[in-house]
Amino acid sequence: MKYFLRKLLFFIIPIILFLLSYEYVMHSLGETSTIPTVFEIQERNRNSLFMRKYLSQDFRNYKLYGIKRNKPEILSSGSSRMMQIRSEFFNSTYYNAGGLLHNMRDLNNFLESDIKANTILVGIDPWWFKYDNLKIRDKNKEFEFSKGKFDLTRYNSLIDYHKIISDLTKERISKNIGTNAQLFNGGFRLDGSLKTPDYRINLLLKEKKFIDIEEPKTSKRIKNGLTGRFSISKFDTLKFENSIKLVKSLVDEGKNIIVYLMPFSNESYHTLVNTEKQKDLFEFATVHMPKVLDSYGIKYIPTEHPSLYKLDDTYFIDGFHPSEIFVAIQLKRYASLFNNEIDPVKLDTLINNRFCNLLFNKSEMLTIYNESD
Amino acid sequence: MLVFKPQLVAGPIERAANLLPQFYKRRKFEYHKAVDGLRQILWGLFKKVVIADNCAEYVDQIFSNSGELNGSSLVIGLLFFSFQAYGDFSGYSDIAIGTSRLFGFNLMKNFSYPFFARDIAEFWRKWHISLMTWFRDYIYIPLGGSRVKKSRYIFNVFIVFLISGLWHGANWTYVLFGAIHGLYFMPLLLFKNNRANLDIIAENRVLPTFRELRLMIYTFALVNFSWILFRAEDLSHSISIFKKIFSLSFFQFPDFDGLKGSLIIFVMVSIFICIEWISRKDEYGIEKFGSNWKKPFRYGFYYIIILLILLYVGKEEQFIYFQF
Repeated sequence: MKYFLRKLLFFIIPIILFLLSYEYVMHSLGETSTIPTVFEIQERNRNSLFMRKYLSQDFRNYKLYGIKRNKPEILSSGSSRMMQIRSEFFNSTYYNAGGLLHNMRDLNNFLESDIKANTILVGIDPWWFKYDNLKIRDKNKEFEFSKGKFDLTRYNSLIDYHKIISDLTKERISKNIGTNAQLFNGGFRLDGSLKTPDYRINLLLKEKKFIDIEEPKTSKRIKNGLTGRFSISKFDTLKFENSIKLVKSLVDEGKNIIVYLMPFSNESYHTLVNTEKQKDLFEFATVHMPKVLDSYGIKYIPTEHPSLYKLDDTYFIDGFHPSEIFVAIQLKRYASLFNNEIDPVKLDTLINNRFCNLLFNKSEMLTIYNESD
Repeated sequence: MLVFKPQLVAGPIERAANLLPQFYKRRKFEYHKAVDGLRQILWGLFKKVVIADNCAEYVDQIFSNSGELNGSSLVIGLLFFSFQAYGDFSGYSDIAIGTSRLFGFNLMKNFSYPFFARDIAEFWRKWHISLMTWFRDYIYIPLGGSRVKKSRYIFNVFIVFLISGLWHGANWTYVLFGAIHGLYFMPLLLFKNNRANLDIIAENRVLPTFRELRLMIYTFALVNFSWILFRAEDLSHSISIFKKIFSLSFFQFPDFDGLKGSLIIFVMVSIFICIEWISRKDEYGIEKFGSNWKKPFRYGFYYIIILLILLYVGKEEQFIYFQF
């Protein structure tokens, strides 16, 4: 037995040493910080951003912990399209839990969870109610923060060890947590909103035109019915109505709930209008959803696009992710839906003092493209 | 109450006569058994994590979009499913057998390189052996086995296949899966060829003969064809896949999104098949593979397997057979 254990140890030692070196590199990049530690760092330095590259973001737990820790009076949630709303827009405490909801089940579970916030802004994407989307497996059902446990999947990134080492040698922003945040100055702020990475903003400043960075381009996806969002599938209108009934029950409990029907870029919006086979998606988003919301007396922001405000698509990050300035412009218009929690004058200041169409605060940029170029 | 963790209902389906006496026997630690057990666990993990789970990713992608993809893509999906099913279940069996061996218990062998079978009868002697021998002992023989009239003999065999299909789930696709294998078996039975291939293929040779290769490919194709019923969501889904495969789109270039990314899996599956072929006389793939190599090379080989497992671990694929 002793001989066996000695041999086993001899066999395992090189593996342990190799994995320890990997852990050390990951730690140096800020990838291994636990979620509570991330919040502690962000509270000490409010400009600190969080975005890992190699290890799992543990995104869901990060956002759930953010809700638990911040105890916001105003809470927003939805898909990644909701991530640009910032605490600066509101007079009360706010947390952006955008990115937690990916389908109808997530939405219903969220609405049925014990939400403490008084005002809730729920971003709903129409494709959640497509028949083919409804088949999605029910994962991560609970809306409760759970302490992360040691997970072997962290070693999946070993395949990129050479890239990790190379990232370690690059110039990095030490106040940020995680490789992506350190390299690109993009990631989650303390309020849960997502700061667009510098290089994307610089690209807009340089090109001075809208560039859809999604691949394939959103308009192509719409035209060809690619991905679950734009697949040619029918909608289950009854399921949408059932979700709205859940919203209604929260309203009846005294919560101020605003449904945010997510906007599209001009290009995406007009592709939707002109693509015959996407007629169902367009009608569902612009006619059916508002009709159901009206019938239940639920407050909502309708599906819009920048040209309604005489703006071009440079106010969009890609075909369907609005910039924080565009969201601010929309919220200013619909400020009356939020019981005095939005100050339109303050919003106006933010909108007018914008650094570029994607970001209003220049001080958040660390690498700025030379505008004279 | 006695709990024996390594072995689960999914298999190997162990007999009381083999397992219970081992609980009463005094066991002492045996170095070679423990090392062998660890090696088999390692190979089982490789089959499950690296082969099966990687194939599963493409299988899911192809079968959930079967309506939009052409016939050749669906054939690739079926090939991947073959290796997913084999890697998954035989991998689990290896982990169970290896863990038991580490503690000094011997469980029965459950897979014996089924994809090198030369006919369907041989395939079923090599696939989920513990289940098939259970069916033989508790259904086939009580029904009279082969010591009855020919028509009754055929009926007995067919019933065993039907029930083996039904064992996988109360769904018509599984019943048909069993029935198809029953039909595959009939010609062998009628021409008394069902015990023609009892030896190890290409024994004492490096490569198979052309005839053996042809028979292996033929058997593999038949099994693959039947997997459609096994993998499809329902009967109509199976029919639509059958139609697609037997259409002109079979001759088109595969059109699924992950084709390029799947090449690495093809390479890994090919290496895996080569190792299994070299080891076809042994209990499992790496039982003796590399045993005569110098230690640094042998350890290097094991380290590569461990590294591959770490690279692919955690894709959250359930063991397929746990649902049955």
